[in-house]
Amino acid sequence: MSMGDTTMNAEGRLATGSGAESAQRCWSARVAARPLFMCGFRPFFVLTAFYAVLALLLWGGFLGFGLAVPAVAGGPFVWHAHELMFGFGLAAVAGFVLTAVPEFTATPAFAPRVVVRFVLLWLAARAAFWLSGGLAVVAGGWLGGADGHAAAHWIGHAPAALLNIGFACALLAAVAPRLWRDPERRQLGFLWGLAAMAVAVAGFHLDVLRGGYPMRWVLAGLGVMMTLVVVAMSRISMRIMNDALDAERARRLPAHTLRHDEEAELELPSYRARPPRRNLAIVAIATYTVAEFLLPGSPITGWLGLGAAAAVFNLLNDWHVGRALFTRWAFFLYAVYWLLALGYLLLGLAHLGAPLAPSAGTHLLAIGAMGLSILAVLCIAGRTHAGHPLDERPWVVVAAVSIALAAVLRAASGLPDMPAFALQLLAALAWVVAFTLAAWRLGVLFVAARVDGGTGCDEYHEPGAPQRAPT
Amino acid sequence: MSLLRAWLAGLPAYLWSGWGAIASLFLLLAAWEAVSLVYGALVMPDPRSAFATLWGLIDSGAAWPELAATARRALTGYALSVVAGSLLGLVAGLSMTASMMSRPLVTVLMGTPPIAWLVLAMLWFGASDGTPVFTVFVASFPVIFIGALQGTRTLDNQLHGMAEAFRLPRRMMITDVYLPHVVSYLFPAWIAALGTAWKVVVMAELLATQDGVGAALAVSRSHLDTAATMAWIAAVVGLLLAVEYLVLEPIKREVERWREQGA
Amino acid sequence: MNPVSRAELRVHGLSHAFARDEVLSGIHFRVRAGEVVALVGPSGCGKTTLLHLAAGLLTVQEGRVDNGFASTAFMFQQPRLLPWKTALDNVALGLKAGGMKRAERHFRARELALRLGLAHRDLDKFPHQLSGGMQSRVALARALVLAPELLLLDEPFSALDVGLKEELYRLLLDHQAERGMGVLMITHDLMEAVRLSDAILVMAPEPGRIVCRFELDHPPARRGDAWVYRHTAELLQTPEVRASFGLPAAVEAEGTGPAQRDGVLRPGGSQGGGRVEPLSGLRLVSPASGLVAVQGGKRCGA
Repeated sequence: MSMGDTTMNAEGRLATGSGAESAQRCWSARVAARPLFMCGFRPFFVLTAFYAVLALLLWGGFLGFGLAVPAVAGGPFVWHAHELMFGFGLAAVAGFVLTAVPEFTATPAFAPRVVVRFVLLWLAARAAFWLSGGLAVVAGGWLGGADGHAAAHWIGHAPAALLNIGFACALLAAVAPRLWRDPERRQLGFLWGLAAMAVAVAGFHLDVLRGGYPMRWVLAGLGVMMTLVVVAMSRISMRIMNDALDAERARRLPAHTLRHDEEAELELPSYRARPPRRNLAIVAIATYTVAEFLLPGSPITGWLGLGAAAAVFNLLNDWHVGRALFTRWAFFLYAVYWLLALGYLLLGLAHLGAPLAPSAGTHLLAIGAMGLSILAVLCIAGRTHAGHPLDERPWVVVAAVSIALAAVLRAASGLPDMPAFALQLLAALAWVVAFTLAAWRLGVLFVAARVDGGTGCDEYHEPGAPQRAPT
Repeated sequence: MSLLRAWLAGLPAYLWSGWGAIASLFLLLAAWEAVSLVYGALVMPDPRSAFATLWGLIDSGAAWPELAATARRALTGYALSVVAGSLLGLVAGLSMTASMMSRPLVTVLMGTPPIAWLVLAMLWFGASDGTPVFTVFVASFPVIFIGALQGTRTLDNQLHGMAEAFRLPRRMMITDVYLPHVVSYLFPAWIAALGTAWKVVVMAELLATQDGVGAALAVSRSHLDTAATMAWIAAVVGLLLAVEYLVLEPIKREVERWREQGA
Repeated sequence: MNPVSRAELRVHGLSHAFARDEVLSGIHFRVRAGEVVALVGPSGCGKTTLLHLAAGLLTVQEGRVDNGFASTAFMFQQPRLLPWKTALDNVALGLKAGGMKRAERHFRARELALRLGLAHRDLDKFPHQLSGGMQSRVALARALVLAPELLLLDEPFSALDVGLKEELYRLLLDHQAERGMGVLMITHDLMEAVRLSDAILVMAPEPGRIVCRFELDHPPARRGDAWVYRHTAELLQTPEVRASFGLPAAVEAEGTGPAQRDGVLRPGGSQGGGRVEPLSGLRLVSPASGLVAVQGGKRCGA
């Protein structure tokens, strides 16, 4: 802290008496020096959890009590979809890549100043979108007339478009050089995923500016998010599953005589997330997403949805390694894939004419696969990079089950002859419970300084334990 | 017994590994659907109406006699070619002279189109079961014969020498050295021949018989009923896929476990 | 435990030809119980043919092979495992051929395989799942499990790394000493021969014939690395060995050639010419002693 002040004072003097600038720099330096900005994931994971709660409280208010949500072009459903996909979802993605990309590419972590700027940009993008409808009305009042109406629409939504597209592009620009320069370019999946995500954000806002209904871009963004989930989960699962297998070996070992330890090892193969299966799943999801975008409601899309479901089920071949699967973190990740597969199954059936709403499948993906994997990333990547071991307290189970329950309830509301309304409210409630717990239990860690002696984004490692391979 | 237990233990994992195949089959169905959307239902009915027609045929019981007739002919011809092809191939493989002599003959058999055999068979056997059975036999025989021949020819001299050095008795020589090796060549040939048999029998029935799937296809063609055509095709292909992946492939995996590359 | 056997393998006047090529000519030697005899020579000098004749894998054309040992086992250059049998079944193959019951042969095979450094889990694997070293262990176990009185080895360790070789040598020597087994091994690796054998027969090609015989007086189990290096170097300096492998004549580093040589290698046992240090454990016993009559080709050391 004192070091930072000295530097800033020195810079202030160099700035030849520009008092206001100096004061502002001083202030921003103090913000950047807070533990919250020590690493990219910290502010974004806090925002992710809080925003999940806020967005669903508002949405629940709208569904249950007719309370207004911020007026945006396209109506409340567009607000709900955009904010959860490109607000909540993208905040989690930002937190993940700002931490993971430097680690995967062995490059220096992003500086706190950079992180602060990303956070400000994200907050501004939220504010601009929330206010876009109101701004358009105000501008319409000034301009008046038919031509004026179109111009007012533009004035209202241009800031939201600029800031949201800007955030997605800035994120891409920040990590792209590092991913590209990596000698083996092993992490290009993240690059393409982020680029596709930026395209989806841009498409959404261009549709809004042109006066179209932009929901198809949210669905495209959801498809992109699903591929990112598959890519990121394969990284995280390698560690979680092999830790679980090691624990299982350790559990078996004392029960056997020394001569049989080798047999115990033989029965437990090590876990590998194999690229061919993962690539098949990614291709199948991408194909479905493109088809859904170009041919919404077509049976072609339906078959591709079933194909995507089968490809994700195929991915689970890697996971069936026996008892180790039924440990907390392993099963947590495993459940993400099940929800992913079932989501595409329902979507496929809906497009093929089965009597159920496509939104049932969409929400299994959005709540189940996206929500649960984001909770997993918050708990696993968040805690370890904040210098804490994995959380073994019961709240994790409560939160995870709540999200899975929310996904199932919301999906059930799309089936025929269901009390849709009540189920949706219950789903919203379960979601709010889950992320309130996360915001509370994880938020306190992410705003606080590290207690394990590590700095920045360093991973937690047990005292005396050998350094782990990076996640 | 331990083989059976290993097979049962591996079954869930094996079945689950089928999802990859199912995923690509769904992509195929999407392509089928696309063709039907572009060219219209008259040229290519969409998958769902084809499956609905198939379900109607099964539900009404109309499908079973035809499928049974087809299966009977295919399996008869196939069984004959398995017995004859395997035995003759083994015998030919034991003698250098015989294998030299038989190669061109097999090439002739392989090169002659099944449709040519079918014309001859129609002249010889008329509209009886003999026509499809013979055509199936002639089409799948060379595949199995070649497999058996290769298997015997490629017997490893080094292993043979080892077996002699360890004084393996004649019976063990056959059961422990020759047979496992030959079977590893024969089994893939049997599977390939089964596919051939199943395809050829439908073709033979189309032209030569009054019943069976092939005959049903001929009827649906004459009625311009493309949905029924696709339904029959789906039934034939589906049966072949089921037999191959549910019966033959698991057996093959277990029998050839020693061949697996890497652990 | 094992009474010293009087059995021996005698090869007498053996000649062999493939079509018109004379492969072996006038081979005489014998292997006694408890003795390790190495046949060294360049590639293609008929070593393998000779071993196969001794094992009865080839029909003798001229001369005699009298194998007085009750049982013989063979270990090949490659492991030659049956790829469709597990390691354990491969080890037990010879026992099965002898008609032993399944439980009994598996028990014996397992016991020996574990002693040879195979792990429990390796025994259920198929050969392709094992490393080259493990495959060699299986092959060695397959030969030793028969408790043979005579073991014939055809360069079995040539493809292994130094560490594995040393380990398998030790396992082999232990077993050999324990059972008083006769061993006839062929190799082109002089160091291996010096390391393991009681007697070395040097072969020369075209046609394959034995040109001389050395005896080593130090028990194999007690030979240190330095001993092996020194005597390998010595062996490599002898004109017989150089000629056999097609090497140019040795550079006479110091002193006068024949005198030096006679000092290091004491031909014909004890007579010993000029005594030159260090004292060698390597003794040229033939042709000087006349024990092995060399027919055809030029005489050894001429």
